[in-house]
Amino acid sequence: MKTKENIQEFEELVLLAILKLGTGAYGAAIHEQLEEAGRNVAIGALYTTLSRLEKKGYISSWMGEATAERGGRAKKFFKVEASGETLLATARNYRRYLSPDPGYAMEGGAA
Amino acid sequence: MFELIKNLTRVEILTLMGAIISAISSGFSLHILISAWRARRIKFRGQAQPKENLEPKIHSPAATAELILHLLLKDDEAEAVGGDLQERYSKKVERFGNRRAYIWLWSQVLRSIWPLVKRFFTAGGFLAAAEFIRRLLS
Repeated sequence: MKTKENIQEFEELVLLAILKLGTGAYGAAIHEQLEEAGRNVAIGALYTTLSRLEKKGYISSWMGEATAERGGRAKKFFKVEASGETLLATARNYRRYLSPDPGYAMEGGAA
Repeated sequence: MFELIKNLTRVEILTLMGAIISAISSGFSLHILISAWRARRIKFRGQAQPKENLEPKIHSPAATAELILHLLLKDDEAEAVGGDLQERYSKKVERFGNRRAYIWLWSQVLRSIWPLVKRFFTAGGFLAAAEFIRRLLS
């Protein structure tokens, strides 16, 4: 259960939001998703985290096409890479292993 | 210009940055005051006009807000963040009205400054400061 990298809570939430959004994961959608989940974060802080995750190789990004509703500006799309998914799975395993709640631990064992 | 910045001492750079931050803060205050005054005028005139004439279909976020973020973001990020703010701002206007959307926009920009400044300077130190001043002057 050893891993070289640690993941911060907010980084984990961002990775999960990208996974949930799938192919439609771009800045505004991720920001909205986090807001709906109760995490009211500044868009600058979100992009700082996204850039850090990209630098570490957990996500990749590409620019989409410009749209009129965005004033002719392009969307920046994000995708979780295999290393990001592994990191999420590791974080989940730690939680399951250390959780005092037997239900949570069993749920982890079954998965 | 770059040579001049390179020759400055640490104290001089910090003083210069202090002056720039003060100037930006004064600009903010003036911009907010003017916007509040404009909003009051529109609201006052709006009482006699139908609502659809008051709200344009495309809602543009404040140019000053975007400019501030543009100074601290990489070029591709600046485009994406500008678009994201525009998109979310338009949705907020439709859902909550101009006033709340405007407050939301500025809260986003002001709360974004610290994380972006931190990233900007941790990444490049004093060279980043010089780059910031260059962008400000260009």
